[in-house]
Amino acid sequence: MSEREQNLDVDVEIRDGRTAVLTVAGELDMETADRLHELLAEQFGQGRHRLVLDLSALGFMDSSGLNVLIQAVNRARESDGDLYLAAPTPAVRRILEITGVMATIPPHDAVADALAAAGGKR
Amino acid sequence: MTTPPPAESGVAHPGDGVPAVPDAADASAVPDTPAVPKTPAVPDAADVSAAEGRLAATVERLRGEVRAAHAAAEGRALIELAKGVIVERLGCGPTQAARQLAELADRAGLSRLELAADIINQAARDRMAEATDEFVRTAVGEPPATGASTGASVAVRLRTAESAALSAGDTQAVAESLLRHALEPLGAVAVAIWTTGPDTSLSLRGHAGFGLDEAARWHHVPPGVTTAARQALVGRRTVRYASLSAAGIPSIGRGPHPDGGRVVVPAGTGGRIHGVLEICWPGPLGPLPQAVERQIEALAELCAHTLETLPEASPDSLPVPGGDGATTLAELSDGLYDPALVLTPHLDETGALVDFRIRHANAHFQDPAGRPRGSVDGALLLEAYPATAGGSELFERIERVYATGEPFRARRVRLTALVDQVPLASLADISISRHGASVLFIWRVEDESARLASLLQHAQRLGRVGAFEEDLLTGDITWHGQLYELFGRSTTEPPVALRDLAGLAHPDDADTIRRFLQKVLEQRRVGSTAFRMLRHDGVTRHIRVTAEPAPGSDGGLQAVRGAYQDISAQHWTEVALTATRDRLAATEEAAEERNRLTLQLQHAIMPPAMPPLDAPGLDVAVRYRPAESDSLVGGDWYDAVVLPSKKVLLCVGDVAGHGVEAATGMVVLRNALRGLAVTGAGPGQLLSWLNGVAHHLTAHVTATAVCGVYDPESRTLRWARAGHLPPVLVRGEEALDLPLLRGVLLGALAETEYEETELRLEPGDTVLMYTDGLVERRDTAVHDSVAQLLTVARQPSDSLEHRLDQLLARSKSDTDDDTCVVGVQVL
Repeated sequence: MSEREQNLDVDVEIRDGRTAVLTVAGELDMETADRLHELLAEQFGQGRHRLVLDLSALGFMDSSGLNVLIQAVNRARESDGDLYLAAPTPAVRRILEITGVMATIPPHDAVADALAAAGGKR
Repeated sequence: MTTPPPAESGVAHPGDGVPAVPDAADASAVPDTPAVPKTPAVPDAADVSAAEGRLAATVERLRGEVRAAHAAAEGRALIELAKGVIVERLGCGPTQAARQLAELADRAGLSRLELAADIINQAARDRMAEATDEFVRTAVGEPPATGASTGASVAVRLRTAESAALSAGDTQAVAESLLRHALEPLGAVAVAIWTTGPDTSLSLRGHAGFGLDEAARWHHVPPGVTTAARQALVGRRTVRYASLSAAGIPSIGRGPHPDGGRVVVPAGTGGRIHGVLEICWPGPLGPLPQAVERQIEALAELCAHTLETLPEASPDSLPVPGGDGATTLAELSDGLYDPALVLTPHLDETGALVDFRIRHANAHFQDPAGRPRGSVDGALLLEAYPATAGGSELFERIERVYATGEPFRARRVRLTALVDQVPLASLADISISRHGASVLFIWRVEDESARLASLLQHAQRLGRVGAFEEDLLTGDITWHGQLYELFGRSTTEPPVALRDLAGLAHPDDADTIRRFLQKVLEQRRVGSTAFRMLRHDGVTRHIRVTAEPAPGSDGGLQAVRGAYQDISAQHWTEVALTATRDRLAATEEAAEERNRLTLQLQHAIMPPAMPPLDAPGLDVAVRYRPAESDSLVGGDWYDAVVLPSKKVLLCVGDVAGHGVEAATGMVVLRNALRGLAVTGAGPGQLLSWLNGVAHHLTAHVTATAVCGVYDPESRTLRWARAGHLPPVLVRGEEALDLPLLRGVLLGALAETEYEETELRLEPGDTVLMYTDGLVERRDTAVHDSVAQLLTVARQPSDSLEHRLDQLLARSKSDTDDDTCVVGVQVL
């Protein structure tokens, strides 16, 4: 495929039996989306359905990346969990806005807010 | 009644030859006379005591008059009525009016009764008067003397019947009066008045000439029994039987006059039938003169008025709560899970039913045309839904239910709603019933999921996809769509279990299948693989299978769901392209050839040249630029097509991802949208449906799209967007991007709605729809890229084609994405 170097770093921090924070940095696109998908699926497989994505260092996201977020939010909500987006950069925020995803997954300003929302869900 | 002087002109001067009468005394002494307006003749206070003696005498005289009137039976009421008319017209007292009446009758050579009927006719100008007038007119051909007397006697007859009916305390008295005064002179021997119950049964409410025993036998006719009266009720028209026995119709009183003729007339007011008037002749009945028919219809109307005003006699009649019942019905309808309307009749000034008022649209109401509930609630039915009067005959059905009370229920009725003047038809189960004076109309549009299912069937056929579900505990396997065909099996054969899949596959693919099953069944993860299936019939197909495990309530693996897709065609395309690519890799023109091949495939799906669009006043141009990298085909698509309504569907979309899978999704969505657009629905609704198609499609397809419907007649563009960049409007030297309407990308949610808006275009305006290949940059925010695009779009251009070329040439995308632009210019 492309000669571009894959440029995505994901750091997974498990908070409790049901909650994890994934810090997603770099570019989430056609080439890297599968990695995030696998990592999210792993968390679901381990019974964690409240997943916070820290997007503060994500510089670019395309439709493939969005696709992963949508699958994840649908899957989380089916299991009475949810997906929380925190601190998207202006570029990513704009993509969320244009694609209407913002109405479905309203982003939180900071990871702490997202975690508070996740903790509030009973 | 050849030349009786008109009542008004004949008594124009109340003083002429008529002695002054103390009107006030008359009025106070006779309580049942009409109220008397003050006249100049009112005596002053001094005269009152002096007049006491005369008062007693007057009272006595009037008592005598009343007695005489009673003796004259029903004539009294008629004369009293005529006197009332004279009192009102001349502003005189009743005694004076009585004298005027007597004097005029003498002068005209008529009896007082005849003149009274004539005066009432003049005053009332109602249907009854028309009937008598007509009788007189048709009698003109006869010798003058008989003509006059016949006309006069008809007038008397009808008015007598009317006044008797109006003063009668119950329907039985009405029936007797009708027979005696109006029908016996026509040769009839018996009459029955039926009322309709809420269950469309008929009850005998009044009868004359049949005898009590016969009436008792016929006091109730259950619903569904076809009698003469029911024929008139159901048919909502007068029915004449020359002979009852010849017609083979049962009815009251058939015994004594088996060959007798009948006329049955629905008795209704304001579009609602309250009962049926049935008239019985002793012998066969020829066609009736039109005048007589009119007379009978006038009598039926009279019956309807009395049935409407007289209290229900039968104790078992169902009370109607809350007046016309609309309020109670509205509350009831809110408890229904289907959309419902409560309708009440809307009458014109003559009392004829012309429309229904939508009194209430219930909580589950959904306008087929997509309007908010408030815009329908309270409107007139024909104004809100003009199409109900058209081919669907719905209005006629509602009218009929309201008239007869007979409920109407039917399945799969075609309902048509006008959406922007384009009829949008849907199948629905409907129920129409009358409750009190209201009509409840309930419908259930053929289940939306059923609709989607049939859409999906099409999509599955297009994509050669079939879904399956396998219950691992019970071993039950469900195959949907065309899986039997895909597997080359007859539908009587059992479906193939996942574990047996390897047995059907090429031996070289056995390992692949084993790994796939391991992933799904043991690791319990979503798995997907492709294999070659060797069918019984010797055909080899390339099949992709995707499956996901579904855990049971205990957490164990309960079932596996997924889909098989025949990718043979895709497979060979890929193989062919790869082979060609490999061959060309060494050559200098490799890149160019690759593009050409990719384009060829893209063009096979979307024609490269726009076929000329038959859209008057609109120039349409498109550009498609494939991605520069070696990813085969992108998921971008465009469409511009003239719909049956002469409007133009414009669309640009982008399926997430690249390669053959994205292209397949693109083909499905593009074709689905084309098909859906033919319904005439607006772009918001279209995207909503398309979202359903995308969501229910094979695993996880998302796409963005902007969809517009342009009406050349009004030069308006209605558009909506699904997660896509909004269109750009170029007007003169200005270029701006249209607002970010609400609308999530397709396939993300199972159900969602899309905001829709309208843009009125001016001649020379250009609208551009494009995919993000035109603007997407990794190092630039979308906002800035769009700003750059607008700058390019502002530059003047001599043609639309040229403008699109400029846009492509100057676009700054660096994401190797394919790019699609559709431009329309109003001429």
